[in-house]
Amino acid sequence: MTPISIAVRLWAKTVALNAVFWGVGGIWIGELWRVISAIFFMVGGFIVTLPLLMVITPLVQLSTWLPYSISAKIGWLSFGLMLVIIILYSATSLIIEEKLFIHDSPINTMMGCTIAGLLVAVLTTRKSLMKFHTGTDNKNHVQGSL
Amino acid sequence: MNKDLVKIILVTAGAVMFNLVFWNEKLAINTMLFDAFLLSALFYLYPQAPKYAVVNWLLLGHVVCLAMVVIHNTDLSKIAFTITLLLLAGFAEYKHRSAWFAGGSMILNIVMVAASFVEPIKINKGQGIKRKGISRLIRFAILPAILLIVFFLIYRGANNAFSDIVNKIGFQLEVFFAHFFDFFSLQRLLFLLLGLLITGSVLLKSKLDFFSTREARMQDGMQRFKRTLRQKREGFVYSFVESIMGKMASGIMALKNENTTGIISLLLLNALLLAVNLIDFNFLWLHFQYEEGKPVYKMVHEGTELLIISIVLAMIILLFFFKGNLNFYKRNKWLKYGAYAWIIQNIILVSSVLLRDYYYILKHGLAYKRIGVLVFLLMVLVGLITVFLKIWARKTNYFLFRVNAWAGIVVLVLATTVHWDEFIAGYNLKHRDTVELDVQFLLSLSDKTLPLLDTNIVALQNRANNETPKADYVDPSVYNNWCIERLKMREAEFVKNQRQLSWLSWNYADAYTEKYLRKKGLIAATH
Repeated sequence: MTPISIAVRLWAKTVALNAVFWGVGGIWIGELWRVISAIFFMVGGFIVTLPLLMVITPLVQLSTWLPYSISAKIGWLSFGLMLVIIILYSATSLIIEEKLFIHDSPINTMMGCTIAGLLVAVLTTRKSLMKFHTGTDNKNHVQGSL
Repeated sequence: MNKDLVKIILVTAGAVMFNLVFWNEKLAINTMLFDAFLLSALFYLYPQAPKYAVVNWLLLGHVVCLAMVVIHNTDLSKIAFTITLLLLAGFAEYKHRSAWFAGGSMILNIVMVAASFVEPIKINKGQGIKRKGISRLIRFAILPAILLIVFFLIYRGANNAFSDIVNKIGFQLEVFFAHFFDFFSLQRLLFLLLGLLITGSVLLKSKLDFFSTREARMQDGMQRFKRTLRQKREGFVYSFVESIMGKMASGIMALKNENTTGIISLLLLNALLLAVNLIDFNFLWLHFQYEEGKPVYKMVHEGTELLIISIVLAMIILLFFFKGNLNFYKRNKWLKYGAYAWIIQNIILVSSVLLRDYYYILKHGLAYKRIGVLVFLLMVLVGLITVFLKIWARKTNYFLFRVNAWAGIVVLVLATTVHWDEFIAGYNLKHRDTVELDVQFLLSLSDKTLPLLDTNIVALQNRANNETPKADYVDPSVYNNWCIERLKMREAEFVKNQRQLSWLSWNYADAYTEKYLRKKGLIAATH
């Protein structure tokens, strides 16, 4: 288990779940175009957000160095990734709509979907995250005792 | 009660309180409520904090800032309130003497807030069994739920009375959820997250005590200790000196060479600064007069920034020479005299810059930057005095930065006690016969100045008309009363903004303006 493999899992799950939530939301409110756009978001999301792995991987690596329990490390990582999402969407909102957080704007809804996607992604990857952090904790202990 | 649990409860309660008192409001009397909660929680979680004198002094400064948020409600008071709150928490939670290190610890608190919040939540073994139980329950519920939905839809289609009842319940549920999601919008949840971040940063001490352990090794007085040449070469400063002085920087004569270089440098710099000071003395102190047709900024204001930079550079150069062994060198007498002379000359330069600023204020009135220069000069003066103390009493750079940071905090707290916008407007309007009024600037000042501007609007309009000829206006009809119109617009905007705020945003500055507008009947007119 390496930081990059964990980062890829979290990223891929978040992008996919974001599209799923966006599509399901479309069905719920009866906007079928959103179901079709969800497919584009899934494909486009994987291409456009690929460089984000350069941010996610160091964050995963950084979380291993914290002197906290594993659950706290995972909490910190989730919060950090959530902040990255909020910053990215805020920047997009500022560029496109020249304003932050407009009520009922599609960017806001999309941000909600991505955050929900991230939380579910962390929840479903928690076993790998725990395994990864336990491994790095042991490694740090060995290095410390040497 | 378990202290870990108390921490989580307090942080969560703080986040909820933050959400309730600050949502769609401005920082005002609500800050008092939130701050009272935060400080009570802080002193409850860290009961040893009030024993430290520094915490009590900071608390005093913080309370002054808080009072100023409610009275003046300026941006400066809000910034000072935030800084003093963070520093207070830093000193209460960690062992610090320097505001820089306490600030560093608080940055770590902010970065680590999520981990510090989750850390006390301990997942006990029983919870695993419980989770399994819940997952079993969900699996058992899937089939019955599907069957329930299918038969519900059938009965609803077959029985009209049942369908009516269901529709009524559905409508009520729709109304409830509409209200629910109005209250718990995404923005509101993010705002709650912000509250969690702020409350957690103040109340939860990070496990990383990097800055407190670092500061524990720092001392005010300089101690002499031996370093090998290899250790010296690892430092950037040594490599820099070696690249300039070559072999003269190492060996037995290194210290003597360094001393000689320092004396020559300070001698030349003193001579140069003496020339500058003499010119300033003659031009500014003895024979200054405003020249007809020549802009004042060309005469006095231009170059002020460069002079300020030169004073800061002077302090850095002195710190460079007195960074180590030269402090203990027996023949450093002339180097010290040179340094003292340079400090005195720089203080004279500070006075000259002050005089420049004064002349500029006399001609053009007060403005933010001109007041900023005054504050900066005060800080530079404190800096020069502390540099003198450092050299004279062989103090460390740690001492220098520590004392200057405290001076900065005192200046910041005192600066909040003045409503600068009102002060600027009051001064400029009072001296309108001698000062060149910048009408546009005055009309852009904060809402507290609206009554003052309103009582002087005719004078402002006349001044504006004198400054710009009628022919320069695109629409000449606005020529005669654009100031009045602009002020009316500001007043209407103020009233509109006030109507959107509740009692939680009450502050003296706004109440004062509102009272004035009400008295003049302007609020009724705009309503």
